[in-house]
Amino acid sequence: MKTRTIRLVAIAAALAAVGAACGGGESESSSTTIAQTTIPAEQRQPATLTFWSSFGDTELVEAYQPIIDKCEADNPWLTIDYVAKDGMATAFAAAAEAGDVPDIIQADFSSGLAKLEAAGAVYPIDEFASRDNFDWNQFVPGSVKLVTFNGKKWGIPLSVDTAGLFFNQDALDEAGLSVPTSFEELSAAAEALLVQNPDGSIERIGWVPDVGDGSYAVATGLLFGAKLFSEDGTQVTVNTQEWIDALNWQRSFYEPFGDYENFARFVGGFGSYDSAQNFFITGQVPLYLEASYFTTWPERFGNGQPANWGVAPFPGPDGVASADELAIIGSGNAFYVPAKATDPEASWIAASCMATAAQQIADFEVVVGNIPANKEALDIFEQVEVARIPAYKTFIDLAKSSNPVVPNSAVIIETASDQMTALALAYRRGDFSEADLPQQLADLQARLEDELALELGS
Amino acid sequence: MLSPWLVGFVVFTAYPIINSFYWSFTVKRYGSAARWVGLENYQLLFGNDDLVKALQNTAYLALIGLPIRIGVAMLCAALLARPRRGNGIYRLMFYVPAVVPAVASGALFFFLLREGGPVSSLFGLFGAEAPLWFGDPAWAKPALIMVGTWAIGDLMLIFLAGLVDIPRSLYEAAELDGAGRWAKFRHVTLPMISPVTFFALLTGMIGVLQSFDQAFVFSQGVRSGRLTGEPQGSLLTYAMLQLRQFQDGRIGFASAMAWIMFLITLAITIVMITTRRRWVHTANDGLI
Repeated sequence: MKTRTIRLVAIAAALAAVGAACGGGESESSSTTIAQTTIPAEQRQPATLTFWSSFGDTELVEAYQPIIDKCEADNPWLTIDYVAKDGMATAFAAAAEAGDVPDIIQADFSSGLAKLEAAGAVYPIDEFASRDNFDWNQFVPGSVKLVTFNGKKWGIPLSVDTAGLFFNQDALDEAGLSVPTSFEELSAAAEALLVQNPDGSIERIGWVPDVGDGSYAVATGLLFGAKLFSEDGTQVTVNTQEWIDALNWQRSFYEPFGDYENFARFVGGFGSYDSAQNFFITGQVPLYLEASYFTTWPERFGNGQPANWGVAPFPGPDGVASADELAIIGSGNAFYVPAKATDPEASWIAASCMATAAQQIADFEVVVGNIPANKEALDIFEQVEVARIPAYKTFIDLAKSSNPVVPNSAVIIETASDQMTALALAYRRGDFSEADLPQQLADLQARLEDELALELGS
Repeated sequence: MLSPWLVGFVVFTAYPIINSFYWSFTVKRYGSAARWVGLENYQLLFGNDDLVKALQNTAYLALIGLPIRIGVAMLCAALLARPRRGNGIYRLMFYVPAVVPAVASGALFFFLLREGGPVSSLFGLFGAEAPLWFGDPAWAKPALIMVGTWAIGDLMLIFLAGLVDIPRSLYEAAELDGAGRWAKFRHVTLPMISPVTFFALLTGMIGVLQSFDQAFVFSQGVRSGRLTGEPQGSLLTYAMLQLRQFQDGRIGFASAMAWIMFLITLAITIVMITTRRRWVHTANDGLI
């Protein structure tokens, strides 16, 4: 009898498991209907919201607290519980699968919006914003672009990462060069700053499009207008003249520096990136395309080295251009309301409050080093940071760009990025010739189209 | 007595297995409903260059790395099986790397083998250039094999147990028949430890097919801007599965990969088990 009972329990459990499995996590799509008008604060029930943030360092958690304090003071019915999360994308994916999500998330999901949309994981906030006449113009345009996908806004911006050309002024002076303002000048500077040992090994290179992280192949593609997908993420766009131009330029850049192995040995000898052995800090690469966070690194890791450096807008393929025309906003933090949040209305109120607490955001970003997306916060930040670190001025100007380039989003963005990186590296290494490049891109296009069609069900 | 285990098995093993099988026929993303697509994930994978490359890389580790690992473990065991002073210390020294977590050993070898690192400097002393272990896909796989071979302590211990179990009388009989060292090894030692070799091959093969952690550590080095390697060039099947599942959240696609890998593993296991009678010596003929 006992054995039979165990067997039955096991069979029942197994059947339940199979049933659940075959259900495949049938999630209800968010069916929240927003109220036509906001509920007056005095009529609101007290609400405690769980807020997941990607800032986990004690210093940053403490720096963030005034933003929460301000929003709790503005909305006395609201309590915001700050929870620092490492690996936000994975943590949120697990929470979404389990159906146990936080009420608000602050993260950098900019290139992952298509995936969030496909999974129905976050709430499109246009309806709330329209109802409350939320002013999107209070944010720099690039930050709004970063939270927009497929015509909808999925988040409220907090900060943006802009990329600029870091230059070692002493190295430029030594070679009698000025800061490059065109691709031709950049290539010339890279070669002029080249220092080789008697055995041909490289001691210093002026600038390299790829200092190890192959994803620069994709990032520098943006300068040529080469993107992996169409704006709505439904078309693969790797078989284009822009990609041919971008990849040819990247490859041709290495030609003066010997074969691939010679260059690979040079880059392979770089010390730890986030240390005093960083190649820009040591002077091994005097020109370097990097995001604004790097501004604090010469002081933070280099103990003041290099002593004389600055940041300029990165030149474009067509020559000199203004910062406004060439701004790349690669990523940015924003607030998102998960689709299964308990009270999306309360989440929206808290998130929109935190995204617009100008003074507190400015104070926080001074600690973090990111560029605030809120214009008012950016003005405060500019006054403080430019006085302290003048190089921030370039990044702030780039962040204010009226029409910046932002990476696009698609459900297979990482797959495509990995494969383009592999193709770019193989091309640079000489695995196939220039004549074969169009066919390689056509093959990649076909592969990615098949994968995208499957994921999108088209 | 069995019920706690049974519940655990159903919840933590059977359910995920069944779920992943179902998901392999769907497009599924975290937090959303699965959409049935039949065999499309599998069809896409069969023509996928990345998977072909990943399988080739994994096969390289299995066909070259695994025999090296077993051979070195066997050799070390043979050396340490002989009674000598300080044997315990030697055994300990060979075994210790096996208790180092795979990620830690990956990081250690990354430090040792990187351009400008100790190994590179050692080559420099002799006026030679060290291979670009992480900058060249052709060398990334030998680097992984080296890490794997360094940590052969567990295998060595099993071989050691097998070796000390061989009755002395067999060697004495072989000596009476005029057998030399090689003949004794070929006709006595190898057959007598063939069950251990079989076990090592079977578990090692399964382990290789699941290789991920050390390759991931090496590739992370690339991602953090320290070298110019090409992770895709040395992509392993299990790593590809993990990347597709966690980077792009393509659970259905990754599940189909998992099942293809499972079928390959199953096929290899069946072949090894069915052919074992031809080369595995067992006293009771067929218990394993």
